[in-house]
Amino acid sequence: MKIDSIQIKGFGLFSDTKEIEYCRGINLVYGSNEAGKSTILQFIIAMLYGLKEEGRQSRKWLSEHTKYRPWNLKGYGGKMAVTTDDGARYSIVRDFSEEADFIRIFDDVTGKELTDSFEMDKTKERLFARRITGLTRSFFLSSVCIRQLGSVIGDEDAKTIASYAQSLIDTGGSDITAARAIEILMTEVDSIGKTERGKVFKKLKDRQEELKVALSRNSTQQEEIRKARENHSSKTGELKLLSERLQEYRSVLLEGWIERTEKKLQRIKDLNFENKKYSGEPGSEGLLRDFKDEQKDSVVQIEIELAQKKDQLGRLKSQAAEISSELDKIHNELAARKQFARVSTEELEQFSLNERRWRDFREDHRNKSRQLKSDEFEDEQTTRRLRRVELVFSKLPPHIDQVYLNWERQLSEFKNSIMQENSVRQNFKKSLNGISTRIGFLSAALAAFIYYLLSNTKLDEMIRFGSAGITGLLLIILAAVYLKKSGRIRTETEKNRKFIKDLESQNAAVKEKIDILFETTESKTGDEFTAKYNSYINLVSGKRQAHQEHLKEDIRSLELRIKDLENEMLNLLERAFPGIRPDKINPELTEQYIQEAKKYLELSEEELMIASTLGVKKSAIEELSADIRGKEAELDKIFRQSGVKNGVEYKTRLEVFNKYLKYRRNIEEISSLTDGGGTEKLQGDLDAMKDERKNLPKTESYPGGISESEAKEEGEALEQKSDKLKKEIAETEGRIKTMEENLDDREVLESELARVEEEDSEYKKYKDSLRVAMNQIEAVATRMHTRLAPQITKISSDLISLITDGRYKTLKVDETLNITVSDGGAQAPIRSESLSQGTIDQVYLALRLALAQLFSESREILPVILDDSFTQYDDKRALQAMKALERLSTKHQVLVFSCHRRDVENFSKVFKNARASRLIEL
Amino acid sequence: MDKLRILHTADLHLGSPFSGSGFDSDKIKERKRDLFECFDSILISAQKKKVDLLIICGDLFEEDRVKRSDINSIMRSLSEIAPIRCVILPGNHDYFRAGGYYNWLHWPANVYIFREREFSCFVFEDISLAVYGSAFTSPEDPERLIPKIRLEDNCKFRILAFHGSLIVKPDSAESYRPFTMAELSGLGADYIALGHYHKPAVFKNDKGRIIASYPGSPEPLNFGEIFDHSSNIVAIDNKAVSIETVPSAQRRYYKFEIECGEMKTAKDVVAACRKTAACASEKDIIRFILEGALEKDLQFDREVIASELKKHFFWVKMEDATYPDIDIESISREETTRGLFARQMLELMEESKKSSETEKTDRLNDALYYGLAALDGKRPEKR
Repeated sequence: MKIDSIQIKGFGLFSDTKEIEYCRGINLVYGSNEAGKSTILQFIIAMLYGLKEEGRQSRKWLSEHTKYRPWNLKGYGGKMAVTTDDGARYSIVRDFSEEADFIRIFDDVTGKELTDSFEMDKTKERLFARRITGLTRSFFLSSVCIRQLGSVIGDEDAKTIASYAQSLIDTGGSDITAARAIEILMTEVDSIGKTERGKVFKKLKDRQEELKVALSRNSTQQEEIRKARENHSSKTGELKLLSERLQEYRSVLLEGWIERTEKKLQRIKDLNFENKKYSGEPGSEGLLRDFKDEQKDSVVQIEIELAQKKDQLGRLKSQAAEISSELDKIHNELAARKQFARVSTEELEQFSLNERRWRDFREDHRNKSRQLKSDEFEDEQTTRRLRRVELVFSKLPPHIDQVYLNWERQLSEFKNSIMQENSVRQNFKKSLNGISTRIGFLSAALAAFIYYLLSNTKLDEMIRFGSAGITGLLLIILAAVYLKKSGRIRTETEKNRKFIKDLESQNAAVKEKIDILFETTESKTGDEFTAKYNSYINLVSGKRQAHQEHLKEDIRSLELRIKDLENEMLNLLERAFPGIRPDKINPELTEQYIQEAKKYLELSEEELMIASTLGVKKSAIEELSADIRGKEAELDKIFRQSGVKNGVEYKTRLEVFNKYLKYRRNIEEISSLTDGGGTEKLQGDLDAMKDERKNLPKTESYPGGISESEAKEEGEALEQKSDKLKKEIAETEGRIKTMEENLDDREVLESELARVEEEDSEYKKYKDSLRVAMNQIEAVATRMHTRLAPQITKISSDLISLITDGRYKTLKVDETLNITVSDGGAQAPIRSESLSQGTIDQVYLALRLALAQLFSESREILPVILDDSFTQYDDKRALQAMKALERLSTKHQVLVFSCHRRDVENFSKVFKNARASRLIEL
Repeated sequence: MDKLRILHTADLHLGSPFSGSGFDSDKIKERKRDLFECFDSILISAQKKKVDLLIICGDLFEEDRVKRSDINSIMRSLSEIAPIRCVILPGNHDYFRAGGYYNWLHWPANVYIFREREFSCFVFEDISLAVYGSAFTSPEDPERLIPKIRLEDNCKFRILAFHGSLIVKPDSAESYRPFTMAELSGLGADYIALGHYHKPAVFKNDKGRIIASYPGSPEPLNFGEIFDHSSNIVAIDNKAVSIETVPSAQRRYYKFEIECGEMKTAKDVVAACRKTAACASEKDIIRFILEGALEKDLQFDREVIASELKKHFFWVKMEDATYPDIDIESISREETTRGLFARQMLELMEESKKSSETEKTDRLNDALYYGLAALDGKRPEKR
């Protein structure tokens, strides 16, 4: 793009029209300070980009708008003509006045207005320059519009070039690089935790934690309250049940109370009635006033004793009378018996003598009769047995002796045969031992032979075979001998056994017979049998009969003598006890009689005893009578002392007094029945109870058949339980109330927490967003740098080659935007830090233009504008720069604004022959 | 009795902590008082309108928040409307529980509380009315209970009280006893008193007869409830059901958007806010959203503005949706790192917008401005 001409119609100090035409090569606009060269530069920029802030949504004028407003206000704008690289020519007409504020664009060739073909941004600025130059205003100003080449202070140059390139790439012309932006964001992120704001944030977090703890405590408290309420509910329910139960028991108790109270009231009524009778005895209390208390007690005591004694005396007197009459009877009886006893004594003595003899005879008689009976019984037994023996004998051989002897002999034979058998058995055992010995010997011989065979192995086979054969034969013979002997012994043993068997069967036959004999005679041994046999012989001989006859004679004689004695004794008895004649003598009866008689004689002793008892009684009666008399005297004494005439009066008085006492007791009883509260109160209580009973709610489960004491007991237990429960409920209620009162104000906590959390969340969001921005910028910058580095290298290499006239061929920009230059030959690339000041200027220029070209969406070759860029250069460096511009102007239109004469001179020197150069002096 | 008149209300949320409202503790206390005043105004309406019955369909109070003293005053107020009877259905915020206020305290004799999850019924023979209901017994209950109810009584009038969510799709999952309109219309109740939704709604059958209604919350509880708040006086006779609403809200909520693009100072903003909110009274609760592109480096202190406005309203919530006056589009056209960064961020925002990630979009938007500020060499200001 080339700027062809400008026509200022009011801009800054140019209040009137000012026209300038530019050549397409290099133009030097020279003028002293305040001549208006900066105004022209600003006019060119304003014509391209307008005077509003770029990248905003609202219309906002730049400060330049005010700065360059012309003083006379005739007009504020102008016209500029440009030609693009493709040959298109545009005229831009602008009015910057706030009222007008327009831009119009025309085709400079056809004169056609093209304004609408350029889009508008949000501030309604037509994006003409953006399309033509392809750069934003700031990028334009930072790249092709050059105020200084390189740096004012030489030693910072290298760094400045790199950061300049970075900032241009990253932010299009502001001094900020992506790295700086990231740094700013990072600082902000860090500041959230570190700076004053960070401290606030930390406090916020701490408060948040505190609040959370407080809220959790609050929740726990609420749960506790809820549990307490639950507990309270269940206890209240329990209490209700208890109360119902209590009412049930109360009804039972009431029944009892009412019944008792009614009884009490009845009793009181009776007592009151009774007292009406007693209360009509005035002065009763004073009747026995003169009686001292101890006297009253004595009277009572004495009267009691007196009564007792009189009673005792009466009893004693009647006892004495009874004893006396008894004694009389005994006296009479005793006289009769004394007479009888004298007659009987002699007979009784005789009777006693006879009786002793009678007893002896009876004893003798009894013994002899027993002897006779025993003998007869024995004989009878013996005879019966012998009959059975005879019966056995009749079946045995004719002579019992012979049978017996034969039996003896057979028995000894049997013994012999047993002994014989034993000897045979022993022999056989011996022979067996013999054979064993022999076989042992032969075995030894055979062992020797085998040994011989083993030790002479060289003998030929025949001899060895023969020897074995002989040995075998010898063994066979030995076996045969043994077998023969063995067979003989077996035969013998067999014979013996048979013999023994025969003997045993014979013995069995004999034994059977002997058993019969033994059984029949009831004998166990042979001797017993022999004795019984002999007695049989005696019986047969009849010796016994004579003895028995003699015994019978003795018995008969004894019987006669006993008879006589009995008769005599009976007579004696009759004489001793007239009227008594027992049928026979019975010793026990007789003894009874005798004892009876003795008793008769003892009656006198009894009489003596009774008489003495009577004496005792009589003396007791006398003693008691004296006592009574004493007591009566004592009483009289007391009466006299107490103003009572006598006992009768005392008794009269006492009766009245007792009535009075009764009256008092009744009053006391009434008082105790009413518990001191009076009858009316008792009646009132009863009515209240009846009311209560009437008003008791009817429950279905009144305890049936429960006693009052049980009801009372259970009721009291329930009452205690109920009281306990009530206490617990009250405690729970108190606890709930306290808890409710102490409960933190949850809402306050929550609202504060909500605010804290909101702020916390905002900070979190802020931090997140900062990080996102940081990460994105970093990623995008890396991408940009990586992508652009080769392109910058390519374009800037062309430019450096052009500007340095081929001295340097390559300007390399790496991905981190470090810069090196090289001559394209063998020389190693030089890092920008090591370049001379003049070269740095050239590198800087090349880089600016390369970036401008690269970033230009339109890829235009843009004019390069230098505004007093060489002011601080020395002459050499200024000339060097001018030469570089000369070379550059072959490609770019160059506009140099200067107020230095030196620049005009250098310009003239360098461009003296150049066609495409123009010096414009203001 | 030919005609039955009931006052139907629900969702009073007495004791609500107004969490998330941003109110300070004094205002919270005042708002809590408002709720009780609203409740009292409903009871006064019940007496004035001489209704036969008051039905409270759930969330009368927030069990975990309400205080014992508050419950005492609720009970006293309810006892004072006797002989008008009051049926209370525990909802998900005041569900029936052991140790809970419904269970623990002795409620006045004219108050009837549903205590079980199974449907039960209170019969008022003198007015030949049967009221069915099922209490919430847990904070959530996703079961569909309506199909389980059987109306078996000999009363002339039958009302069902129910706390739950009306759903459109029969198979939608919902935590609070979901039901469909089809389920309700087949029940045979004269009127179904609903609770749970805070926005009022009346439902009619095909013949145009009212069958059910949500009275909504009588007092607005947050900025999501910017609509009229009232209770329903429901008149039922043989032929029809009619509903008359009784306003009860103590305060209103408003939301205003304020364009601040041209404003230079906080004072300007305050003035604009007051002008815009001229229709609101000093009793009301206002949410202002500041919008527009602010000049570079200009930011209004929300707290200062809010505290100024709070002098004129009960409560003010300020939200800042302003943004710096940067032509992002223009920047994004640059071939610089900055331009590339802007493009990249816009693309990311576009993606997150598509997937409806609002918060992410907001963050990316913030990140864009923070990044641009940094690339402009400036310390970013928290938005």
